[in-house]
Amino acid sequence: MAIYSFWIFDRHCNCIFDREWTLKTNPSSGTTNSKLNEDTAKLLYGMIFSLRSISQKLGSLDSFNEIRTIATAKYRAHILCTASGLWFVLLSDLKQEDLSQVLRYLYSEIYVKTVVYNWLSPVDFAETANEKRGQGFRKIRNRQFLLAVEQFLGPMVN
Amino acid sequence: MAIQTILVINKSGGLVYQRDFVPNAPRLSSNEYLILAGTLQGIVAIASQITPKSLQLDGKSSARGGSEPMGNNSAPLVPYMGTLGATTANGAPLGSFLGPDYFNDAFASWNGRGLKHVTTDQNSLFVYHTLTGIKFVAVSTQPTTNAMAVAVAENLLRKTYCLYADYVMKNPFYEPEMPIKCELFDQHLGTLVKQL
Amino acid sequence: MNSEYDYLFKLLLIGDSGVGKSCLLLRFSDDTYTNDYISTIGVDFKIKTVELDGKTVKLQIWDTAGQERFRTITSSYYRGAHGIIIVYDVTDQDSFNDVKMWLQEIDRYATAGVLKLMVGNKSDLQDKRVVEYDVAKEFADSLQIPFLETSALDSSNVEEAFLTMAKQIKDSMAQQHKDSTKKDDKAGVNLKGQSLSNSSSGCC
Repeated sequence: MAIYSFWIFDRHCNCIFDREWTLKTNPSSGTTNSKLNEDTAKLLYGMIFSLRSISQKLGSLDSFNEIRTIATAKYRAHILCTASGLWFVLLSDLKQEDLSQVLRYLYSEIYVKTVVYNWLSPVDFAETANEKRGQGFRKIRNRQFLLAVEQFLGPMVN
Repeated sequence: MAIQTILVINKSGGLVYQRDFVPNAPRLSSNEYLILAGTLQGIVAIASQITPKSLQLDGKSSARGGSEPMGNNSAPLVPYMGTLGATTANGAPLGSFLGPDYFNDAFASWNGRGLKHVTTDQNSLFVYHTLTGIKFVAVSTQPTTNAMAVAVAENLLRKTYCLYADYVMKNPFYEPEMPIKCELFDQHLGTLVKQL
Repeated sequence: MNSEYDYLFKLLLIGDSGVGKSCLLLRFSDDTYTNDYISTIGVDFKIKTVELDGKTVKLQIWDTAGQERFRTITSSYYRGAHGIIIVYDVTDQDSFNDVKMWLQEIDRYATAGVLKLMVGNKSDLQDKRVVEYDVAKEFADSLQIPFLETSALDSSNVEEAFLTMAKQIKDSMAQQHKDSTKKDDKAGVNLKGQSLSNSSSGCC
């Protein structure tokens, strides 16, 4: 099993968390909330955004047609869109056919319990009008969340 | 699993063929389909650009070490799956240049980096790239990430490519890169999908 | 579905970000709605259906983003374009200077012999103008590129230029056809003979 990176986008198109593992053999390698990943995050967001609008058109009108996975010849992206407008995105190798359970756990057990229940954590990571238009820079820096993600995803990296 | 729609997108991202195969397929206007095709073209480019760093690092190190030939890396093999379309209904062989046997082997996928397969709550979308940059896209009515289903879809699209080579490219009245209006292609594609 | 159009032409809009590329064609396209693709995948689409010589032609206009982060991706959009429109802002000298850079991009990525058009936008802002018409005209003439100035208030001349471009593309395709049939004539094969006699007998 190999996981390459994990991303969270809020409902204002901002990336509020990113974690990329750069060495497959070393789960502690890589970067968290890095500036370098900004453009990649935007491109990843753009790809999911436009594929979502395609899937909405292709599906029947009376029900949601939410996107689940995107595969290329090299990697697969798993996507979970929550009701509150958050996107959880996990990039893995092609052998992982469905990681929706993992994403669901990351959301309901880790994100909800360490970020949403945390009184010191902001409800909305975008504060000004500009940030709400996709120019936000605030990230999740909650130590408990970072630790929990590391503990949960770390063993899956290689 | 049924095929909902098949699209052919030329190398510049223009939609040259679109056909629905199920009666209750969503009705999109031709403009909407054109936009969809162009968007897919962009997504293909982006998908290859956001390849995770660890894979990029991996690729580099193996290229330096020379332990793995690059050809393997860029053109992974797709296994042959199922017997669909090995012969058409009246027994005529598909893919004239190498005969029906051609379809009984695994084949190299030219899509080394770009978008290949998308699943949503209701559909799967499969993309087959040719070496010349044409993209054959199939939308099916069920989400599946099963490796075998993906291989079946890729085989189907490769056969569509052969039909394209036989009945579109060899049609003297066809203008390259322009919308496909070839009755024979329509007919044969119909039989091919029906066999699935 | 497919029989709705006979030809599909790809036109590309390029230029620095902020020169008002998207505003040029707001009223020109079939649908008035705009989808906000441009900020996500670096391209937005406008489609115009026109009739040329009794054929339905779809002009698919690829409106690209000028931002740096899309540079490598936009280069893939040049592929197979029939016509390219380079836009600059007459109130912004840098955007005019960058036209050279965009022309280089065209040479690098687009098909040789692609039709080009240079457009100076925002010509209604006379008091803020920094790029003079004559300067731009001379530059365009030296490169043998058609040139015009326009503004979002009245962009009818751009729309005309687009239609002219579409005609040119269509004509050049017909020309290629003629050339190829000429060659056939030389080789002694008359592909058209049969159909011509058929049509003449059928018309009365």
